[in-house]
Amino acid sequence: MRRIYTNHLLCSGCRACSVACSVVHFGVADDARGAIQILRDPIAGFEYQALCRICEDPECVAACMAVALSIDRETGRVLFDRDRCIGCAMCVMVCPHHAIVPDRRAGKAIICDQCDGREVPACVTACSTGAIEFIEVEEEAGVKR
Amino acid sequence: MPQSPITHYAIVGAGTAGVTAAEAIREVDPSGEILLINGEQFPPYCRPLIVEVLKGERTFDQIHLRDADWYKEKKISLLNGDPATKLNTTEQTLELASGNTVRWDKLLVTPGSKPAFPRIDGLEDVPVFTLYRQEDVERLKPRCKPGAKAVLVGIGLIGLQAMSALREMGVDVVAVELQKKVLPLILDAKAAKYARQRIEESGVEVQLMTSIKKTWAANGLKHPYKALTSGGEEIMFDFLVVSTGMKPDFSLLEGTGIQTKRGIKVSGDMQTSVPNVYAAGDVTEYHDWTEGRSDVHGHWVNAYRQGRVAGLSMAGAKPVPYDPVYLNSLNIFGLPVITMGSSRVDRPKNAQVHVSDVPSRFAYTRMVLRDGKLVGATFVNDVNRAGVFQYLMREKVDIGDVVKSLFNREFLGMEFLYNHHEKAIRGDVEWPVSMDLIERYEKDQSHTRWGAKEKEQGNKK
Repeated sequence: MRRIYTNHLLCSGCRACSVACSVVHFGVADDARGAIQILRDPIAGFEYQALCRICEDPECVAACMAVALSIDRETGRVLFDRDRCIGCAMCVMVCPHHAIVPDRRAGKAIICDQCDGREVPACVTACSTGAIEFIEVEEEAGVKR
Repeated sequence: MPQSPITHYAIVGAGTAGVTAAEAIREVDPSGEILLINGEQFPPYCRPLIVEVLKGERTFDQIHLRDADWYKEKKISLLNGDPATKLNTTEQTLELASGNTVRWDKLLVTPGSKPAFPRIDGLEDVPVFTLYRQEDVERLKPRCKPGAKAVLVGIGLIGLQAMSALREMGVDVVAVELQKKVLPLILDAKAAKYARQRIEESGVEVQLMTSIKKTWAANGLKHPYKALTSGGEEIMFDFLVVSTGMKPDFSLLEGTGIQTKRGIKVSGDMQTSVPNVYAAGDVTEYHDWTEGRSDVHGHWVNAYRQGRVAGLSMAGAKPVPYDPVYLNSLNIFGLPVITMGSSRVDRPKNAQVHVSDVPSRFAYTRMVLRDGKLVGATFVNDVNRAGVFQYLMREKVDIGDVVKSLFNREFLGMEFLYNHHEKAIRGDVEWPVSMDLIERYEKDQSHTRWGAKEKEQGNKK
């Protein structure tokens, strides 16, 4: 399976990835509705890329009381059933990666689906500095934390 | 591996803890027989979502915990509408309401809790509802007509859910709460003030430090019943909703020797004091390190995690014990609130409190630190970062030095978080150093703006 990795040293904090994500998923250019979020530390010049890091034992799945989130046992990815989501923000509360954003307008959660159906996720194509990479990961390679 | 005899697992109670446990058992033990005893007629469902059904936004068919096929696929025998009535731990049997007796090798009890009723004179003469089970919704729903009036006793988690549903259906609500603040087990005074403001804006009449003394039928009025508050006020109403908290349901445990105090005492792998009997979910009592005492907190994450740990250890695996933290995510008439740990204490002992408050935006964040470690946090309206702090709390990370910067909107101290997750973020990618990128930015100087050429180049990369 392939995963999205990011490098804060290359990230300029332009949020093109968040915009691309919201365009692809919701048809709006709204960085607040992107499943990837850039959090800036202006003093240290540090950019933190928050998106789903595909935890081995995802907290969000445990917390979802609408059972909208589940684990794809083959790829380890978190699957999100948007119709079941009630917007309770339980997943937002437990995600240690700041990866799930509440969509206040729609009352749903926003979580990375690696742009299902696209060959390369929108954020990766939108990144002009190469700070986001989509690469093949072997399960045995010890990438799992 | 030598052929081992088939283990018979029995799970009493099919809430999230029971279903998760069954799933976990099946992961480890592919051959054991799993019997999931559901006391309700209705197949297992997401209990917190019944309020969505009450509002009419979902139907019961849409809130099942699992599809019917799932139980078949996992070979889990699901027994609906046949509650367990008697437990015998010496002979390892379980009697059911239908008269059948079930033998078990490993038993998990997840009876959950039942609503606690306050002492009110004449409560039996008026229509009283709770909001806990599927049948409660079916009973309550026909009463919820626009213009009806409800008295809500207790403004806690369920009270909040009930009032938002009732308001949505046009029911007038008078809510009374015995404590000095709304949601007293969850919010501190300031957050409760915001919550109360929001509740009152929605049209609910809130009376704090008030209880209902007496209720009676007073025929011939606009609303057929009357209630007397401790303040001496008489309130007319159509029905009464009780949400004064829950208490663990011990009815099955009588005479079994399973130790209980506030809840069932369990070890790290969810075993009770009786061998081969496990417990999980809202019924268990655990040590809440954020408050430094043992308590029973019913909440979803805890039930799921405990159910999983119990299931794995029943099947013989060695799961990592779950260290629970009390977490709550609420929506107070559109105002998102997340609390964790010891968030309700107004003046915590031996702890520093950090607060950021922007009243005009309803944005309020409060953090309680003990020895540099986060033990309680409240997020009102600005909830996006809550997960990060939940992580810092659970991992008992010392954030004493950086807590001030963590408050910042722009989130100074992201580097701190990054260091905790570096592996997951960067992966094993061989990242280019920034210098390699120069080529990409070296453009023909005659071009004043991005043109088709660059776009094409960009797409190739």
